[in-house]
Amino acid sequence: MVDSDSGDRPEDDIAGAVGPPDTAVMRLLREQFRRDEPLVESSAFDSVLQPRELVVTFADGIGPATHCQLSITWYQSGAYRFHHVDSEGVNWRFDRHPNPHLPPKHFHEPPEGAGHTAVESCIQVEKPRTVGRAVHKLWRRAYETGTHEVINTGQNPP
Amino acid sequence: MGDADQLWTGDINEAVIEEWKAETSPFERVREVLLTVTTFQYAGAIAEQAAVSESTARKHLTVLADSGFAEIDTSGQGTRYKRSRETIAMQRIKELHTELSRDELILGIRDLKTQIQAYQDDYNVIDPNALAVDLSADEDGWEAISDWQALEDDLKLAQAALSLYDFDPDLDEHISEDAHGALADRIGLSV
Repeated sequence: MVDSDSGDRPEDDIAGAVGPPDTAVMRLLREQFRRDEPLVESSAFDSVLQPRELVVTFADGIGPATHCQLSITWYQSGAYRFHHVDSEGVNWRFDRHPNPHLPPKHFHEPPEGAGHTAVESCIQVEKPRTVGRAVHKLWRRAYETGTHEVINTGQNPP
Repeated sequence: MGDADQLWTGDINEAVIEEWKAETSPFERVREVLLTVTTFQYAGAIAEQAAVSESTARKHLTVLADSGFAEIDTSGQGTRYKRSRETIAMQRIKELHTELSRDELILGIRDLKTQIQAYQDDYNVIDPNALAVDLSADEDGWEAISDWQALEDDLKLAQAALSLYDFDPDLDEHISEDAHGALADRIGLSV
């Protein structure tokens, strides 16, 4: 398993109505990660009775990390949270939700992924499959280059 | 398997939309967009999001409505569509019924009710919508509202899944015989 506090919910930085988690959309994202990423080991909801997060675990991690996981919540309003944590304790998060102090689509930077600070996200698409794919690609590039440095850079030179 | 494990050139937002269009049929895109439509929308709005023509969207939405995947509203100037609540509820009820035993569901329902009660006590309002009315953007509690809304759904779905354990049309005769026997025992009749 990844580090001991990986199961913790991220800090409460949602400030506005987002609706309940949308399990139908999260199911779509689960299929997508299973199909597209060979390093995915497991992908399951945190609970059958009260599903709040889809937890996708990977058999390897970025740079020195040996494992990592993405905890995904998609809300009925289209808000979302993709939270990465790995065996080295590196956290980052691609979010979209209301907060008076942050851009609606924002990125909590590694290594802490702290809830109170964030920068504009490079992900501007809004449909679940396109957002899921963008997060996946950004993760893939970081994995292949072995660094979290440019994780939130949407441009990739030829 | 798609090209998603391949990197991209240029801007990621353009790349993911192009790949999405290349990998899916118009029907799949309309179906996927519909999955995120929670309030009634016209075919034109759905078409734009699915990157198909309006007539194509309408054709596929009609099929999706016929198969129960879409709900329709014809009270306005044209037909409007949204995802079917029933289809989504059925998916979860089936999963709950498959993965949890009767006892687990009974215990789970009790636990969900306790959590809802705790929110009612903590915030001194009857439901999450009442809490949303009182809350400003700078206050904590929005996460609680989302969780509370979800708990209300979880409870209804768990109760529906539990009721499935009592429903077995193939055993109807059996059950009524047993029930008849039990009743006869209770009131001291010999069967």
